[in-house]
Amino acid sequence: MLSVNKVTKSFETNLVLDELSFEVPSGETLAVLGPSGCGKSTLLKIIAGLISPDQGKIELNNVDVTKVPTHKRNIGFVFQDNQLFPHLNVSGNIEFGLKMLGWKKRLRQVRVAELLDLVGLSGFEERNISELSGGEAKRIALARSLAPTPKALLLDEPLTGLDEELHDQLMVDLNNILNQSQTTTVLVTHDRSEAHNLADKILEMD
Amino acid sequence: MDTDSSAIKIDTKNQISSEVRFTFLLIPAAFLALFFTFPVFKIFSKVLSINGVLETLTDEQILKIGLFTISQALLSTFATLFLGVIPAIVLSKYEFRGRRAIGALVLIPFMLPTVVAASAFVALLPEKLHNTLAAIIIVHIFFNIAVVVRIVGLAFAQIPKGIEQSAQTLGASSIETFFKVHFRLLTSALISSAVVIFLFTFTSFGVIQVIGGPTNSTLEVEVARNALVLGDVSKAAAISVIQLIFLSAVLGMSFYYSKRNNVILKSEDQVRSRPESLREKFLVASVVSAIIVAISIPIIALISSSFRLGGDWSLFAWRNWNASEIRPGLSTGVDPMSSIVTSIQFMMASVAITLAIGLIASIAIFINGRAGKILDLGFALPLATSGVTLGFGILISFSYSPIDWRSNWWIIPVGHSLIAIPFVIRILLLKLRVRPSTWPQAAATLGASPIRSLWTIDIARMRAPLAIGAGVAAAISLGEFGATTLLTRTGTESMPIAIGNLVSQTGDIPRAQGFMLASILAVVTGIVVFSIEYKNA
Repeated sequence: MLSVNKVTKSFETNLVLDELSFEVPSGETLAVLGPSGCGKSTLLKIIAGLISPDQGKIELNNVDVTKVPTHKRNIGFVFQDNQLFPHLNVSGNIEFGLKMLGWKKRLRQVRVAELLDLVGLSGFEERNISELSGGEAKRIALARSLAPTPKALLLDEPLTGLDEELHDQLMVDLNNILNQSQTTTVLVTHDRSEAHNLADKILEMD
Repeated sequence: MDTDSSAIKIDTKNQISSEVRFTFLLIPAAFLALFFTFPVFKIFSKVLSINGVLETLTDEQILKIGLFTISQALLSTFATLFLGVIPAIVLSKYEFRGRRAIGALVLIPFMLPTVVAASAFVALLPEKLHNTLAAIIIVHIFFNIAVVVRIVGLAFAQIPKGIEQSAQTLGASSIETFFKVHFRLLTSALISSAVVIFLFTFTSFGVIQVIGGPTNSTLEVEVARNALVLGDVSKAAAISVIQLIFLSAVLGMSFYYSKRNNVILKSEDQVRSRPESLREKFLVASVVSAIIVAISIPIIALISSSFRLGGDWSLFAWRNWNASEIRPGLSTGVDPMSSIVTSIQFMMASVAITLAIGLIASIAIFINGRAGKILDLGFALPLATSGVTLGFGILISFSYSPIDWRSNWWIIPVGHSLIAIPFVIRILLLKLRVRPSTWPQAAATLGASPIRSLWTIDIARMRAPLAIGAGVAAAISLGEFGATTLLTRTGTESMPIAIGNLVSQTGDIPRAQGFMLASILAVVTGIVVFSIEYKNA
């Protein structure tokens, strides 16, 4: 379970988040819906610990993690522009988080294959990042975030910038992946139909 | 906007005619062939036989010097890389007050004449460190740290900020992020800077002459000694050839490795962030103060030493700057005042030659396809050739009529220009290439012929880059030591030659005078470089 408790954040004089609170029960998906610039991305970065809130608490499975640095939070984050590591190939990217956890090579290989299967890209292990299409890169970014079995998955506009056909296809797939992986998820979007299709609950921000 | 005009096919009928393009190509190519290619061939021809090279290679003394040359270069390279990476990243990552000034300050040592930098450390370091390997390495670090800050800093700026965050969300601590992500993405830049520093320190000459002492010799020093002191031209040529082959091999290998390690980064507009946490603030503050201290202390030591004589404060050096005679009958052999005049003369000639050839060459490269690329590469070659080798080649090439030019004063500024032209070409080409490809098309529809459009659209925008190029050429000419050493004539010593001569003498008076000249040169080049950099940043 992820709980956000009275989180406040302002940048200089601009109040972006004002005592925001919500909970996402384990395994469920919450869509945060709102126009651009309303603080959705800031919210995700606060949950991930990339930005500190001025006030308020973030709890993961009933543990207060507000002061825990990002790399110890065990959170998956799919960035809007993926941010795949260009110096590593597909499997190097997916196993990055597993290496951080000290997994043995054999186990990592198994897990990478598992995740590639989950995102529908089996056999992509040795591909270069620069050879991936937009949709493929997004799937690999998703696989990379899910590999270390995060306590919560954060998706920042996961379907923005893809062309229409790909968008609809990936939305169906993403829905399946989220259901299968049973990961507590917060997804940020400005697209109402995306929110309705993917989430169990919707939180509107403005 | 297309930044590379050569990428677009221009309809043939709208191109500049091939005769005109060929003419632009011809002038700089002839200059390069006469003053660079021909002398290098001459050096090769002076090597009597393969046996001569082999004999030199197995000569025990040369072998010893060669090993020393390589080891001091390697030590200098690794020490500089080690010390330079953190300042490179800090200056590239953070925004803070005075960042541009610090960025420009870091570049000053690199543009300081080698003999001036070495003199500063003669003034600063205690006597017992003079003429030691440690002193050589310290000066090399001082000199080359800018290379790391520049190359690695630029590469760091291209790493997307989000990649750090994505590593963190995957469980990497900031140290792990640095070694597993940033370090890997910087590999190519690290190799490039290592190669540049290795080339510079391998061919180090002025530094060795001034602070290395007679016991520490590099191959470069050995070429000069054989050519000038011992008069053994074929041995000097053999050492030059060995050095040229070795350095080409290093360069070739580095191209191979940096290609292999090159990771394509989508460059995005990276915004520098302000240091926020206490740790970040401390890091920035300590890097900035270390830079200021490390750069200003040697310069201050140099300037203040010019006001000292035998342990006391004295204006002697500054008062007697136009006399080589210290006391009646006692001469240092060098007239400081006349060396200043000589240097200014060399500088003005070199700036004129460099701008003329550099501008024509840039246009030739810009309007010609493959032939232009070859010319561009050709002009880069003198950079990979050491100053001593350039001077030595010219010395042995222009000694017969009708080209008996080695005793003409202008041959020295020509040598300086060989070193300055590639820099000026880079500066000019950058400006030529960064423009929308549609400008000439617009000009053509308005009735401008291709050559007219080149003149009004491209050359007309060259004023600012030409001014920068003039500054760079002036700084290079004022400080050039290696080629000048081979070509200099008694009575018309340039400032670096005079400094090298005075500072390596033992008496207090010549040293003080050497420090005085070095101070003047340091301040002049410092101002030129700082103003160029500060404007450009």
